[in-house]
Amino acid sequence: VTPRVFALVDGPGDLDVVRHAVALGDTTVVTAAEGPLAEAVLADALALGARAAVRVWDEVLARADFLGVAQALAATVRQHMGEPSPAAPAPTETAAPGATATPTAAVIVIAGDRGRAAVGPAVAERLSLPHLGQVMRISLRDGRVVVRRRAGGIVHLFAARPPILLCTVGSPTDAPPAPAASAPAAIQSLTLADVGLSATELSHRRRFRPQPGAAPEARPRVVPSIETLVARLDDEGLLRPKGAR
Amino acid sequence: VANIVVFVELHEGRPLPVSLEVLGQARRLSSKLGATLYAAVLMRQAPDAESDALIAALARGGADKVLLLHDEASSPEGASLVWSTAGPAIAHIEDHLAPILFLFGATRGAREVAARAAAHNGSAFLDSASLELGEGGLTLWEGSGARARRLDADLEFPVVATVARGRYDPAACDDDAEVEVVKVAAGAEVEEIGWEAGGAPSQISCPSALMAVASPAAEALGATLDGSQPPDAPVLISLAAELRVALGAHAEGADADLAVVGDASALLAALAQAIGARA
Repeated sequence: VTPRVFALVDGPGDLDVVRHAVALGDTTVVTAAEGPLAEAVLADALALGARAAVRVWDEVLARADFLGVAQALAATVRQHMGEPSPAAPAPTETAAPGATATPTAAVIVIAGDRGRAAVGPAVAERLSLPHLGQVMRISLRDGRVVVRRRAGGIVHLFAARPPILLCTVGSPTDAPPAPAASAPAAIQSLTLADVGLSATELSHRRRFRPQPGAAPEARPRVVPSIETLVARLDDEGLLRPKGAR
Repeated sequence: VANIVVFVELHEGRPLPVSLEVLGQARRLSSKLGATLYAAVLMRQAPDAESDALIAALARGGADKVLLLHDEASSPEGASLVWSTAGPAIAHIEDHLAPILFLFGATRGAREVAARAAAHNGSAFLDSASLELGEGGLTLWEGSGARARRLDADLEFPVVATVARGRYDPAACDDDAEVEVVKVAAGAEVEEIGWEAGGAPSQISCPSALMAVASPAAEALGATLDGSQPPDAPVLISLAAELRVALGAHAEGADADLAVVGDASALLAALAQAIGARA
């Protein structure tokens, strides 16, 4: 089954997310970011091979916390999950009236694992999807998504049947070349109402968003010796022999 | 009575130092706020006699209650947490204890699960939080210093937060705590199918003169070294970012919370020696 892939982007730093996505299949890029920068990022995503680009926006999102933004993204993905892939052929004239293409069940949502890395897991929670973070590489094998993720010096391989949400780090090593220039797809602009939400539903999330405000300085703790530091790192499980789990 | 929960990660059967540090600050907050402090531990094996030492350590660390969550499908001890295996236990904690504060040490595993835990129960989320008690009560920030962001709430809603290594001191309490054992069951949505050494790690900039001694340490950290950087490339800071420590003269103003006085070569040599001894 050809996967239906959604790439969640917030800014130019998320274009690697798009590269991971388009390497897997037909990709719809979704953002809940504001203004011309968002439009530019979506245009760049389309140039990288994404088939469709969707921006959902309301002023309330500018003040919402991670979960408010995740709710908007999740609602947008949910709305588009059941739609035919943008790459699917249009229904023929002989199709039964009202018939649409069969929705694919193999949905893969890809988000970035930058900064606080909070929005991706929150979207997974809102969509009730399993999720994995720190994903370096993604491949498809026998209908399953196989991912490589690094923890310490070890790369762990995980497999799962879609749907799943993956939070990626870095660029894919096997990203396809950018497609030849063609007429760019239009960027679809949606309101919260278009995806079944209202500003009222999200407005309370502004209280959950921390605001600039100086905190006591975290004084660096001086470790008295190298040996103490090594012992501490060892206790934290940060020192592992090469090749060990 | 309000509950505060610290999710405790283990290494070789013992709580991670950062978990005990978070537990220590949570003890101080709980005493001031009149909350019950839980130390929650996810275990693959059912608790047995060997769990007594763990329970005692958590009690000494300040826990009023130790919650042992037993799940045969959870990740092996020492493996980084993933939501597919730790999620059911975390959801159990939130659904049954409704903590006003749910705290994690800022580990790789916490990065994987803490934000989702916040989304699960609609909490606020703070990464690398500062949790300070003052005359006005508890104040919560994300980060520290001038660049911090404050959460303007008096625990009117639940908060999930990670706390960086070295931020707070462990507590020293008596070894008396109630113990609860709960069996939970993770699903099999995501399966670990193997592992391999190395991979495509992140990159650390390094002066070429330090490459030889830095390589083993970097490999153990899953990083590569970039010797093309100019000689003043900040290997100290780069390694510090990987280790979440701050080093020597670079400690001032750093986000991280541990420091060691010394130079890069001394640190890397010690790390390489420590790693080599285990290889």
